Amino acid sequence: MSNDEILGAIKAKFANAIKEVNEFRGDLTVKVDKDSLHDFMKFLHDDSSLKFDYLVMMTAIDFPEKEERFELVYVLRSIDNKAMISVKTSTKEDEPVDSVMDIWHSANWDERETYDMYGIKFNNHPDLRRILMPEDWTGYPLRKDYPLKGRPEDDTYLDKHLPNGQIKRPRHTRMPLS
Amino acid sequence: MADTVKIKINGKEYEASKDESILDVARRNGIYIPAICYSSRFGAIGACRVCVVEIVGMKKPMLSCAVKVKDGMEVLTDSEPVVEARNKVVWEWDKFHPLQCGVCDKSGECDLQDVNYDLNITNNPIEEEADPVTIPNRTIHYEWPIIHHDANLCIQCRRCVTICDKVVNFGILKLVKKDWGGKEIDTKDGSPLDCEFCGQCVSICPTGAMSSRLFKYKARAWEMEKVRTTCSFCSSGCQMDLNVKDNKVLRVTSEDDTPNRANLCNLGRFNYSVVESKNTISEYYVNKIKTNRDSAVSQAAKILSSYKPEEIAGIAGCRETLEEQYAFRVLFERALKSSNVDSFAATHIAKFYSVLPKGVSALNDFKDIEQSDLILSFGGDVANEVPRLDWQFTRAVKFLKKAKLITAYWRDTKVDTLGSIPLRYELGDEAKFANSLAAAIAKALSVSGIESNGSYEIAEDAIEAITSANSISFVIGQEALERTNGEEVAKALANISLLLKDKVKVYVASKYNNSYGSLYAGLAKGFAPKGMHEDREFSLYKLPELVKNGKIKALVLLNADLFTVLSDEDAEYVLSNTDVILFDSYKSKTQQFAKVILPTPTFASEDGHYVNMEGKLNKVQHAIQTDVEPTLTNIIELSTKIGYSLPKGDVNNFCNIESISLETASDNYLSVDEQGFGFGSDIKGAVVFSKFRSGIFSSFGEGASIASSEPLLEMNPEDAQAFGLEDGSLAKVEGEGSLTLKVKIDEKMPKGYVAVPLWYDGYNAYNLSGSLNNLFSAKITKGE
Amino acid sequence: MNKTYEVDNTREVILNVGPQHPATHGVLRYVLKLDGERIVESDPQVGFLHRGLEKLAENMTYQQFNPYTDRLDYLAAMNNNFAYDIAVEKLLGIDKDIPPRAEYIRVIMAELGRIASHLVWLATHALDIGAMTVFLYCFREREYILDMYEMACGNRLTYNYIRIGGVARDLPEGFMDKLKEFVKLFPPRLKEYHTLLSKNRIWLKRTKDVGYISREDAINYGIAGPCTRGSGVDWDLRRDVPYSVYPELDFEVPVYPEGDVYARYLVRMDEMLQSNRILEQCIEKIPDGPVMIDDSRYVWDAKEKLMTENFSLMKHFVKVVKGIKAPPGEVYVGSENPKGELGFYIYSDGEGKPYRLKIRSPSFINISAMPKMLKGGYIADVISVIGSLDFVFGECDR
Repeated sequence: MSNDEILGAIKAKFANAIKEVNEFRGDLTVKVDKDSLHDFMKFLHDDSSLKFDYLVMMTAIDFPEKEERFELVYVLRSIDNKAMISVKTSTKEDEPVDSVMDIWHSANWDERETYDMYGIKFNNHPDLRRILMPEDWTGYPLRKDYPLKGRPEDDTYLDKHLPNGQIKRPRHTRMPLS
Repeated sequence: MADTVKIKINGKEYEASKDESILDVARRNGIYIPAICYSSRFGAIGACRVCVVEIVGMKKPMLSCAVKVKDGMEVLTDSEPVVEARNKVVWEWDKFHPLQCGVCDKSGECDLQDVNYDLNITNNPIEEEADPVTIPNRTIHYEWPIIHHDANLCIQCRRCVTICDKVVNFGILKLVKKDWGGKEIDTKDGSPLDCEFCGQCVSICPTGAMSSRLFKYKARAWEMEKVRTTCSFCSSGCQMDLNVKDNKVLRVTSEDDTPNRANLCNLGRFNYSVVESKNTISEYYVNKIKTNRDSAVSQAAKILSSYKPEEIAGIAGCRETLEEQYAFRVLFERALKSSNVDSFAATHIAKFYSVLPKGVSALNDFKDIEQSDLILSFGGDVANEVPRLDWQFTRAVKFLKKAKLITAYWRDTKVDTLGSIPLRYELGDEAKFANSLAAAIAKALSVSGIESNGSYEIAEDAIEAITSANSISFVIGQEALERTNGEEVAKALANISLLLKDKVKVYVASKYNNSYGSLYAGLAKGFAPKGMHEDREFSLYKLPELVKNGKIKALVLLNADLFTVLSDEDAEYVLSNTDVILFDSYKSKTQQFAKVILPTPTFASEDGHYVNMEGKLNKVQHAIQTDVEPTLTNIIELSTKIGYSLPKGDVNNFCNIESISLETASDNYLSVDEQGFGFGSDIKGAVVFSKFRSGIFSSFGEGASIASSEPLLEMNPEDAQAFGLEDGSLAKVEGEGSLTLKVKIDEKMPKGYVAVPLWYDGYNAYNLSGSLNNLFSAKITKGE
Repeated sequence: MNKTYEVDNTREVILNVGPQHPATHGVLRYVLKLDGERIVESDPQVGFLHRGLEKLAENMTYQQFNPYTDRLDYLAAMNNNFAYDIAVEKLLGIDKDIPPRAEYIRVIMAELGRIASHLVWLATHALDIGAMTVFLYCFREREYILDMYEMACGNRLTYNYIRIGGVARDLPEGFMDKLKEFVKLFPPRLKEYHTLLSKNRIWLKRTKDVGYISREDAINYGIAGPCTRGSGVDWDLRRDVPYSVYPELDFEVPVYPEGDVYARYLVRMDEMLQSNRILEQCIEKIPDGPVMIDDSRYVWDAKEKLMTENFSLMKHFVKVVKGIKAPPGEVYVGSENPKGELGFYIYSDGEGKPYRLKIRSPSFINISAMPKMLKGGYIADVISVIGSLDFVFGECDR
């Protein structure tokens, strides 16, 4: 199935929701309105000709200077058609996005990870909690304003959890002590 | 918007406003066009020719930095003719620029390398033309101090010429014709470089042609870690990056996106070596004997506990962070229960801000100066006090050509070269002149309430300019406020700002990096925490007298070197008749008198905030590791040992703000005592600020000491002739005390005046004028 | 991770396993709600090996990140290099210009990696279930492969051999002989494993009808690689989204529809044989020629060129300090790794560093499907399901 055919099929149904269409190195990317994301995804999954039945991955990108700070990326694949499409949408910092876990179960951990790393909340997710970082961690590490080598308060956290007797060292410092 | 046009770049449509160049639009939209001479710091020069683009319909490729956008314009940024044209330009550079990048300090951050990479140039077809043997050797300026210029590496983009002229307003560099037949960058008169040594040319040079002598061969660009921090040499709060390798600061850079637009002055850019260990205190001492931290702090607590609260006084030197200042205030208020605190800010800005009238915008963004129609600078040589102000003036007046400039001072200064309406007064007459100015403005605005005997005629065009301007930046120099009648000057200036309150933005210069913090922390006389007003008996001005009367017996000094504000005699008297607890980072004469010395980290190893002239809290971050305990910890420990445990959380909460605000006084016009300084019959002298000094410790840095190694007595040529002195000869100056200084003949000095600078190592200008005073009458004779 | 579990006090028990447990293949912790021996609910918890690789990648040049990919699935580090590099090459638009010899070397390395990884899987899987001998046999064969890797790049675990634009250097003398020896030797060895396990009654009891997942669920849960093929999904990225020189090679994709642990076992066993077939063909087909693309914008120039040519050195500085300038854009490229689909999503804003780099790791997704497979099973099944999913925590936690 070629990109044009896919585009034709989705444009027929979701002409208004589509905000941007890009093709880069032969990959099709469609940006849709956040409110129609779930319907759009449902359509991609259920439509008998498209059949995007496999969610390869989902993640987010942080653009701190934009008003709609986070861009969410879903890469979908159709096993039968051997086709791939990226769906994107953007959201503000405190606006939740509809979960697609009811469509693809594999979104479960991906959405948890996105929440863990960016603090984006998902509506209707049954079990939205941190996954890679400790439960009582504060802050969202993959945001651009989170410093690479941690924040001073992360040291406090680590010190609290260090085994007794382990040497405390300023971990957020930039240079190893020589 | 009517001004928006639509243009197509590489087939995609973009919106742009009419006065933008193609390059601006492309950069804004993330389309890459290489450009060498263009910089966001001063715009386009049009010299490098590498930013060419093709405009559909035009035969020749055009310079994208020079062509303004037009509606419907179609631009191609990498069509074949464009790439060809660019390649030709770069080949031309590569022909004579030695490409031995391995030995050049610049490699890794070199714009010429970047352009070569971007254009993917792998060979140079015109290389053959240039036989390396016949390429003339160009000058390498080994004789220039601080800045190293190798003309062989220069690609003549004229960035340095432009920045020196349009940003720094010094204009010493020029493309000069040389004997070998071509042109080179050199000083205008060919003599060795003698300038402000701000190093802006080094920071803007796209190749390694201009480089810092202090940094040469020390490290590679990528080996250093850049730590963003705030400059500690004046109150402008420039943001800069300390480049650190192996726990050493090797150079200082600044980025284009900083509020100061990557501009730094000599002190900021080159004086980083003050933080080297040979200049700093890093050990604890009790009675000049080295000891450990615990016993030093306990000893300090013991000394302080042995005196009555009212016998203890504290002085802050305005070099510490806001956190420490607040902790210091709390230490006195709650632990020692003494209200005897003051800071060096009391000598200048505190005088103005305690009479600041309601409704006057007093803490303003530097960038607002660009928006104003008129800059009124009063009572100081701002170029020496706060160089960033000078550059902001230059941008407003010379670069954007938006603002007019009025300078009121007793002599011509560098900013007057921008073209100003000069208002001149007699030295010491600040109060009289300011009051006359206020009265003249009041008269023009038909406001009553300001009385003046009108001894100064104010030029009509100045009054006209002030009354007709829509927005005024009112810049007050530190020097005028530091006069002994500074309070009266401040009142007169407050009246002026009140008169113009709807359109005026006030800036008050200060050489101390955190003097504004000391107002907000409630250390300076007249101020309580959170910038509230408070009356306190004690002041720095009264200190010598109180010590003499036996009222003050112990002194806690927080980064306060008393020799920078008092004469040697007074300072020695005060320090030797009190028990001194000294917190300090740098070695000083005060150190010799201290009972207990508690070292403090330098700005390069400290965390916290400085408050700048804009009232903004700027972050200070440690760049180098040190064993010295943070000052805050020591103050807290001292406080705990005395009997009050100071919660650190309180201190952090206090500083958890973005900008400060200060309480204002009433909005009544104040009456001013116009009485000036009583000069004797001898020549009149002023103590002025040097561009290259900010406290005696700044002498320890290489940048400042090379740029200006010794204090000079500035005088008019005619006066010099009368005294039989020449440029460079020694003169003996006798005021209250006497000093022998080298003479510098300066045309700008009015007749009958001399000026001596402040803060050089092993020298104290207050010996001439007396403590906390910056005027004197002097007898001048030939020195030997 | 402080989830509270509702327990029926009279019957149900909460059991916590890991993160330090020999049968968890790394630092996996799972909480099981048990009704007697039966699993009512399970909650695998990951993240104990989280190193923030994606954050690190945002602060590195493209070349600098290459060795970090070794630390993903460290049992098949070559395959990770490969997956990352084809993603970057696609972003740069040079994926079609890689010299064929380089591509063949990459495929050889990747297929050796697949065999090595599957051998470790088989060894540990069998060991967990109680078959000690297989463990020793598998490691014997893996040693061959590691020796070959060591010949090629000097390392035995983390290689950084496959680079953006090709491979670090050409194959050393004697490598092909060793490889020929290996492909001849390996199929009979594989038969030995079959004789040890495939008809073993204990093995069958422990793996047949255990950890069942249907075809639809396998797709819906996003399970990748051998695990989906064990549920009857005929899908292999090497064949269906072809990359490198796989279209020129002839191989079969083993598919078993049963969806249990045994089916996944058979898939991997067959895959090893297919990999061996690919290796045989590579030995025949590998051409001579350069092993690195000749494009000084994106790859390091040769040392001798750097030392003698000014332009080369000049641009080397730019590449090292500021990184290769990728065009703005975004790509997702998946590659068929031993564990499943390892994909790299790269968002570039035109600078020398990736603005966002997301690693789609098969282990992470596969573990997320564990509760589905465990539900209703016995507590002992947990071990065989873990073994059949074949995950590595370097990759799962990133």
